[in-house]
Amino acid sequence: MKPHNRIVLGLACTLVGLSAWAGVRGDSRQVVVEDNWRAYGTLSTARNSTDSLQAISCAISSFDSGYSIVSCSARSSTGQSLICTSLNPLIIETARAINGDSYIMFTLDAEGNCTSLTVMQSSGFEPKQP
Amino acid sequence: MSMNGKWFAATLVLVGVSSFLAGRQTGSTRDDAVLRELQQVRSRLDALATRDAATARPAPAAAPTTVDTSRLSAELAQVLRDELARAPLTARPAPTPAPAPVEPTPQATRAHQQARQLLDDAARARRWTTEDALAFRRALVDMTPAQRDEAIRWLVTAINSQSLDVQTQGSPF
Repeated sequence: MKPHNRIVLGLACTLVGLSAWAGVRGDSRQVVVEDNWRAYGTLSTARNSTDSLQAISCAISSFDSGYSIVSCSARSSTGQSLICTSLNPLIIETARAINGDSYIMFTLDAEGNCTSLTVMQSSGFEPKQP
Repeated sequence: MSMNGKWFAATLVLVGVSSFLAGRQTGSTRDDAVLRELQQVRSRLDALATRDAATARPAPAAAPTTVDTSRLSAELAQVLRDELARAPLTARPAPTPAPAPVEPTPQATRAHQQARQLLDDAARARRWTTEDALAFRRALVDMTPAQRDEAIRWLVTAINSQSLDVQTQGSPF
């Protein structure tokens, strides 16, 4: 085989390998706050956003009196904020599944009680940039 | 009339009477047979009628029966009351005692007042900062559960009404 052909063959193999590598990526979900009832977004996307406003998080606080509470909050790129809290053990358990790049969606009632919490992990979500 | 004629006439009369009697006898026998047959049929019909009456669905009452649900409910309630009254006390589930409200300690009262002060200040400044969140979280630790619920409700209401600009790095508390 001529050297030129070898190079072409090597390049072809490399390209085939790269295409096998690629999966669904770039699933970026900005933080959205819908009126006063729902908010969602991906932690990594919020962090990687160029604006300095987007944020979404959940926090669990437990006290020695046996009291545990989860609070989930979100702020959109327009500065609209929403927060809900819950003492429901199921919602607290769901919040424990959140990791650094999770997608979070929560809904709330008029008094700010979380009525649902969804946590999703996906290979398509962008990782947090340093 | 000659002797032969008399005999001929007597024979005719005898044959007629015999025939009449024979016919009469035959008719009577046939009638008896028919009567017996009829009797048997009647017996069978009576038997069938009796059997049908026993197995047939009862005829509906002259007027449809209406269910008095209120009376049934009252009776059922009475039965339940009687049964419950008869049930031994140990069989009844013990009522769950309501958690006694925790009397706030002076420390808890102070923490609650601090949280209230924090929120009032934030409402005036129209912003909720990371420092506010840290101070609020510290105050929550010393509060009673009821005070904690109340303080968190204040903050949640303020944030969701967009009267506070949340500037925290992370969770608002």
